[in-house]
Amino acid sequence: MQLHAMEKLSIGWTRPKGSEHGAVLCSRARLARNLEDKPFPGRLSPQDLKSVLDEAFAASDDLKGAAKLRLSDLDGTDRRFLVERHLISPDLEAHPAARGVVIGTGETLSLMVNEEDHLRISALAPGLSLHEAYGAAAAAATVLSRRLRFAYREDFGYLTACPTNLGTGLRASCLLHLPALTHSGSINALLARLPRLGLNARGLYGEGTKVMGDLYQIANAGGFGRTEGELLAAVSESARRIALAENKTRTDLLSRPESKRRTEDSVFRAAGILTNARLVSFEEACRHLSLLRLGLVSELPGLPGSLAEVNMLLVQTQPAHIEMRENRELSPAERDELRATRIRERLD
Amino acid sequence: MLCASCGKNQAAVFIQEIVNNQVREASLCAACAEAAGVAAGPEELFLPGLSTIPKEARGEGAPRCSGCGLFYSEFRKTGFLGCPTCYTSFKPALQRILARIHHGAVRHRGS
Repeated sequence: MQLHAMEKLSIGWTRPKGSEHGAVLCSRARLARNLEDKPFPGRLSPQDLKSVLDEAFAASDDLKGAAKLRLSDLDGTDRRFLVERHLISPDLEAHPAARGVVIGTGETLSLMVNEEDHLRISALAPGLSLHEAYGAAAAAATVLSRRLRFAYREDFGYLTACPTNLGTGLRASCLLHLPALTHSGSINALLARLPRLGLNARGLYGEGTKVMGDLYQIANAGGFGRTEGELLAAVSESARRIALAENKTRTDLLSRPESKRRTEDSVFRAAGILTNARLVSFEEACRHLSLLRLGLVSELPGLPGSLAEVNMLLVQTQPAHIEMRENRELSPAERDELRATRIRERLD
Repeated sequence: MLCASCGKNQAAVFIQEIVNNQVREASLCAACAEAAGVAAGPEELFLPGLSTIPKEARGEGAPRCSGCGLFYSEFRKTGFLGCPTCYTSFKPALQRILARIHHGAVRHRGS
């Protein structure tokens, strides 16, 4: 577990920031880029994949303070830890040979090498701050372009392995916490409207992953035919509207006596389990932390912890994080016990 | 509550996943949850559009990328192109696909 020391570092994007932070945890801008003179990763030999990795690492010398990691040098826990930190995708974690990641200071910038495209530059920022995230990703792309020539055509834009990512190569996304919309049953109608706006929804770890803790990723479905500014505006505006809908639903739940009683009961039961249980699975932690977060944002009096602590616990209760903290492999039962202890300590 | 998959064991894992922008829920026992893993495949599927592409562009006349040698028919199966030159080799067919999956867009407008 070489990345053991990372577990102690604070994570910039979990800070509660901005007026929408009650529903919008963080924002991400991802840029897909490929080298112009090589096939895409899916068609490269192991030697050529390594050559791309070496070129990308050499170019990232110009990214200040960045740490370079070859995934084949890391064990399974390290790789899962990076997924949990949202620094690499599950796809990259599953195929570590000749793949790597460059991580900027504060973990707000990361560059995946040899996932679906040669380069996936990703920047995270707290709250609803897509323009800040895009600025950081674009700046990194500019730095890299001094040493790397990206595949680009005037008519098609930046060329990508999958045509869905063609053009700007930009995927702008926000991670939204929507417990009221989920539990009231309104979430499906809202998500069904997204395709018409050129947007889609994904689970906690991105494409093909589950919804956990009532957390949803909302993003543009493609980056071709629209400018970067238009894409950022579309996702920001939708995130803002969804956050408003969530806030309205929360207010409704807590203003009608019957639903207020039931909601408060659910929130305080969750707080009770989190502050007392001796065994907590990750799925259970997500459910209860989601309810606690709802209560804290709604400013229900008498709840343990703070928004910042709950945001951090959503990250730190993940399985590889628990193992990393102990610096040894653990059985599921040991993880559940240590997770429960961690939660009690944090919320005390 | 019994597992929705095997109907034998008690459900212990409660899953929500997004499929085609709809939240689906399932209650599974630990064994079935482990066997289920995560959903595979990209959501942005554009395969329904491919059936209306002319035969010669569908790879039955074996168009092939002059850069990496990928057959158009291989791209149709996997959804992935092989190299930047594929965008030149398969341009007419790709333009039609792009218009379908990107809501009528025909040209890059970004930076």
